[in-house]
Amino acid sequence: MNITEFVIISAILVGIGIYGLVVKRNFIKTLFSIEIIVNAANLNLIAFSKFNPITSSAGQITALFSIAIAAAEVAVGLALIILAYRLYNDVDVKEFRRLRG
Amino acid sequence: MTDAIFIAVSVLTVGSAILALEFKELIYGAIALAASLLGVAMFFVMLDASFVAMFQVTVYVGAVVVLVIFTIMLVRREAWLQVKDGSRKVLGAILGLSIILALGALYLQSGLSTLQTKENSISIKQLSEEMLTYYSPALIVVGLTLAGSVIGALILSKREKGEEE
Amino acid sequence: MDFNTPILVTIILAVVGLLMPVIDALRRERISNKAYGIAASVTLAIVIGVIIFNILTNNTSNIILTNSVLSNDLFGAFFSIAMLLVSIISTISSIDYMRKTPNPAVYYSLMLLSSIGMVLIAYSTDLVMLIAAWELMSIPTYVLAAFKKRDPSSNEAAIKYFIFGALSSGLLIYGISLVYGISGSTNITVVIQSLAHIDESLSFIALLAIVTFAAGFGFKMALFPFHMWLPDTYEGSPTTVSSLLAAATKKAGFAAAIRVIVIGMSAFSVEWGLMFAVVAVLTMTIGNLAALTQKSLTRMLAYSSVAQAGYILIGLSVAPYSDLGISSAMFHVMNHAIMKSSAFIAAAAAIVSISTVNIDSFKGLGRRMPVTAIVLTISLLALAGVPPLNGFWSKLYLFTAAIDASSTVTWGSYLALAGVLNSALSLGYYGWVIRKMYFEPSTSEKVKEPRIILGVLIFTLIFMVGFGIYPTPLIEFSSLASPIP
Repeated sequence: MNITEFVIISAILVGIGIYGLVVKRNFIKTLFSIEIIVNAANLNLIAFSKFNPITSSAGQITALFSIAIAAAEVAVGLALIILAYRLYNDVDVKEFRRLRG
Repeated sequence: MTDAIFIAVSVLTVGSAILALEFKELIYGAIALAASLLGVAMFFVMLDASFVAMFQVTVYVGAVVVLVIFTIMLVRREAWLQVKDGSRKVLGAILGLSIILALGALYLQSGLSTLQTKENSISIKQLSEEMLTYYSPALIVVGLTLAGSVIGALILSKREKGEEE
Repeated sequence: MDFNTPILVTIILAVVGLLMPVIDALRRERISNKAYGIAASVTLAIVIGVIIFNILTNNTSNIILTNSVLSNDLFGAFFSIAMLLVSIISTISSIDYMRKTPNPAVYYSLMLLSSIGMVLIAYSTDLVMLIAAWELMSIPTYVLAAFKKRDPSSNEAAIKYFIFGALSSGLLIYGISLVYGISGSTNITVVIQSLAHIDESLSFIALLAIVTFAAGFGFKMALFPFHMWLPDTYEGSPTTVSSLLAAATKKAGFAAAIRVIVIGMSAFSVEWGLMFAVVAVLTMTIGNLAALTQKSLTRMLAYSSVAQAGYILIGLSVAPYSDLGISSAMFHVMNHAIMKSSAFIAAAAAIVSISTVNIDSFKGLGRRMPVTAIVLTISLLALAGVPPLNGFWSKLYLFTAAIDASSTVTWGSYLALAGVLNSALSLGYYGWVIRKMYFEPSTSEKVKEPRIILGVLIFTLIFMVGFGIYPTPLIEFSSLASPIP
């Protein structure tokens, strides 16, 4: 096993995440894309913690923190979705203005 | 043998990440996302980080994805959930691919492959010691972050008085 | 874990911040919005007092490298004071602005939690601490942006802000993983030491790490091309929250960028200065051009804050070549924090009194809301950099730093020229607002101005004019606190 394989898998996940962010209009899918990117970063961290000149647990700890933080983020994101759903219940989604430059 | 496992897990992770975004039905997308996250957890096991893998499974698959699925079922409404993709599909694909190629090329030609595996893996004891000594302020801050997100999420999803069903 | 200022500040803010929602949930009878607002403001004032006391009693070093996750240094104190001043300005103004909104306890509690995050970003010397504090700052502000729950534009603002914020933290974690990979540590001190003798073949990874960090922080600093979310967010959020976002969380991005990129990567000689300079010029120009066409004051201020981020970035990009670079950027950070929050609070006053921020309806505002109009005028002129206001001095310092750097790098003087031209351009739209307020007649009656907000506005007015006439203390403070003296 070599570290390059793992970081390349992680790079592929980042690419998929960016693709999803650019293409998908649905907020839930956007959330998925962000989670995929965070996971790619975590995979990178763990790979580097295994293949590292210095024995250090910092990589695994960072990954643990990042997972906890992502959970906190998702909770707020889902609350925003529920709020949006309530606001747009009677309204057509098309009224949701597009991102203006 | 390890190579075969590696390839299988890679296919699972990457394939279900793509499926998570491409499934028309969001519920299936969420399940595919769970599969992809499980794949990442398997990578963690391969990399001798079994505690992080366990954490990944419990928090991500057990909590986050389940929460997402509940939300999807709560807001289940055809018109709301099926927003069409923008016309930027090609642009997105090109951007994603070029990021993959750029990062891949960079990693391949850099000296990463010379990095060697350590003999001894990191024990949970070491992890918890570091977390409670050097990283203790960060641990408190993460606790506060979770508190803030719980308070915030509660207030956002709570119905106000006088707000009808 | 030693018991120093950042820890003390965290404890004070966290205790009050977490107690407020608990008390609110436990008590039967409702406590008025005002009481919570006053409690939060007093807490923030105490915290600012603690930090200033700590500086005055010389417990604060200006050594910015430690082997701990937090460093009690002047750099952190400087940014903390700038950001906490904005927090307190926004909090006090919220007493008027949010007086009819439900859930006041949570609103002020989230303000305090977000302030903890900002303070800890300024003090953190470890990348893990930085990302944890970054999230503590961001997550409450996602909720605050959506706090007008019945208003779809507030929800939309929060969703856009959330998407870009979450992406930025994802990128930051990716950047941390790369830095960790090549240095084996997350402590910035150790990172500097290992980057100094890094293997040649790994240098591309370090470059990639710089780019990911710049992108991650760039989303919060709203640098081009990461500024797309900002106008909608600032327009849709409650205006006091926009003031917090524009004037404080943005500064946290700069604090983090200075800590990580300018200090952390200084050992690593890559031409990131030029990269920053190009982004600075693009950010200024695009922000100012877009601001010219806006009809709403908050939207115009949003684009103007994009442009201001460009000015601050001038200081960062010349940091390796000029001693003035960081200190002038920090000087402008402090000034911009006050100028921008003052302008946003004036907009909030307009919303409270005449419930619009449409610039066309500002006709005759000089007569209808005299104090608000005069403070808005002063803050717009300060933002444009008109002497003798505080914004003039910091811009002068920034452009001097750029010219100073031109002895080493040729693009320094062009950077200064671009800054001067952009300032002239910005006078165009600021002047348009001022003309509307004073030189176009209106038949409308004089309206009552919100009293608490007026107090805040007068404070910012004194700050802007006072440090405009006598800028020396701020200049000295920023040069003392800057990591490269």
